[in-house]
This record gives sequence, C-alpha cells and structure tokens, in this order.
Amino acid sequence: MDTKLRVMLIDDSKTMRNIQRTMLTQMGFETLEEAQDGQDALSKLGAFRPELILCDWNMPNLDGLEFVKQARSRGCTAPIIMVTTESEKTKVVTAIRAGVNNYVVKPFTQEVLAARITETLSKVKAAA
Amino acid sequence: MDRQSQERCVEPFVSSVENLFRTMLKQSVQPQAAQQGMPEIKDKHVRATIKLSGDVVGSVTLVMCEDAANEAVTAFVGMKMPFGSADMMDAAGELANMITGGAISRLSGLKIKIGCPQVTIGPVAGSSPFSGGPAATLMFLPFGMKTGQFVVELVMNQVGAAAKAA
Repeated sequence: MDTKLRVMLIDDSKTMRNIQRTMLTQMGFETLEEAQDGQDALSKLGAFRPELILCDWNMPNLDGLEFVKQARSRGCTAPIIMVTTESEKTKVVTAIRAGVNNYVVKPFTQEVLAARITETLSKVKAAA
Repeated sequence: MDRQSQERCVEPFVSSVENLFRTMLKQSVQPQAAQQGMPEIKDKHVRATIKLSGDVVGSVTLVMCEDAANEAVTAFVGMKMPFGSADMMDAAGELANMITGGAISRLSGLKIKIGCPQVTIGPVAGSSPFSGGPAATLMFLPFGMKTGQFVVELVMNQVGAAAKAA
C-alpha cells in the first residue's frame, strides 16, 4: 500500500473523521485533508489534489453521491471509497455507477478499512 | 405497524447494536426485553435521533444516561469527552446513525431513507421529536452496559405499499 498518497476524508461527523484519521495514521498515511460535507470537499479538491478519497454518503448540504458525481464531472480521477451505513444493494450499484470505486460499511475495523484501501488501489493500478 | 411487524424490527436493531459495540467499541452489551414504555431514566441523558422516511416513517433515538454515554463514547473515540460537549454529542449522533443504518440493512424488503442525527442533552428523558404519525408504534429496546443502561427508542409507521404488503 502506497502510504505517500494524499488522502481526503469527507464526513459530517468530526468523530468519524478523527477515527478514520487515527486508523490511516496507524497504517502509515501522512498527508490527510478533512472535509465536513460534499460542498466543503469540492472546494478543497483543487488545492489538495487527493489521490484517494474516503467519503460518507449521508451528509447535509451536499451528500456523498452528489459529491462523487460533481467531482467526477470536474475531472477528479482519484479512487473513491464510500464509508457509510448505506449497504442496500441498489444503493451500492447507484454509487458505483456514479463513480465510486469501493465500499466500506460502518461499523468497520481498521483491518477492514486497510483491506479495502489495498484492494481499491490494486484494482486502479491494474486498470491503468 | 402491527404487532408482528413490530416484532420483526426488534432482532435487526438488537443485532445492529451488538455488532456496533463489538466492532468499534470492543465491548459487549446485554440486550433486555423490548418494552412498550420508556424505562425510567432520572439521570441526565443524551438523545440522538435519526429521522426515517420512505416505506417507514418515524425515528430511531438512542437515549443514554450520563454514565452509559461516557462509557460508550470513551470506548468509541478512544478518549474521555466532557458530557454534553459538542464532540460528545457528535459521537452519540454517529452511534445512532450506525445503529439505524445497520438495522435497516437487516430489514429486508423495505426502502427506508435515514436522516442526519439530531442530538440533545436533557435532565430527563422526553419524547422523540419525530412522531411518525398517529398510526406509529413505539418500542423501547433497553441494553445494559458496565456503568449504566441505554435505550433504543423506535417510532415506526409503515406506509403505502409496504404497509399493505406487511
């Protein structure tokens, strides 16, 4: 796993951002940026240029699905992992069609998050 | 929502609570029998409510007394937070969000949309801000922890085609 990547964490819950930050730091990631909703994340995309995005679905202002659509339409190619309680099959399909690369269902352990990140980065690398 | 439908909701919520505590809080909880009335909570408490819409209208509220909230949030976040602080309320809201999302994924055949958490601190337990309408039923799922008790309050009303199919 390339831990030099710039990672953006998008979640309206500060608690969840802190928990994910701690997990990512323990995995070795150093360059992290946080956003509290989709709107905030869009405003930070240009300056931060994330290489991996972990995004919640259910957020005020601009939700995760809308963020993914808008980020992709602006040319953002970073792999996006949805980290969310939404696990219904139709919603997963909707998210993947919108441009999501992978999925982590809350609640999750650090091991599960690490496995999904590794899997996602490997798939993206293989497809490149 | 009829009695049979209500009872179908109990197991998904109990499983969701147990899974959340096992996965992210590294703790076990003791589920107690579902009740029709709110167990007495005299202590200060935190209420984190998630609004439901779609095939089911109503809400899910996590009600934790001060000791239980402190224990759960400390285990969840990995550090103590002052009771009633913004960070503590945010953590309680996220716990309610994960309980609700986990339970809904276990309720097959229903399309339910969940809202963002609304969290309040109160001296005594009040009622949920989302009624779910006159046909909604109330259920209370109490859980025991080392230091205290918490309750998951369900206000649920199945509507439209989902109600006819139930």
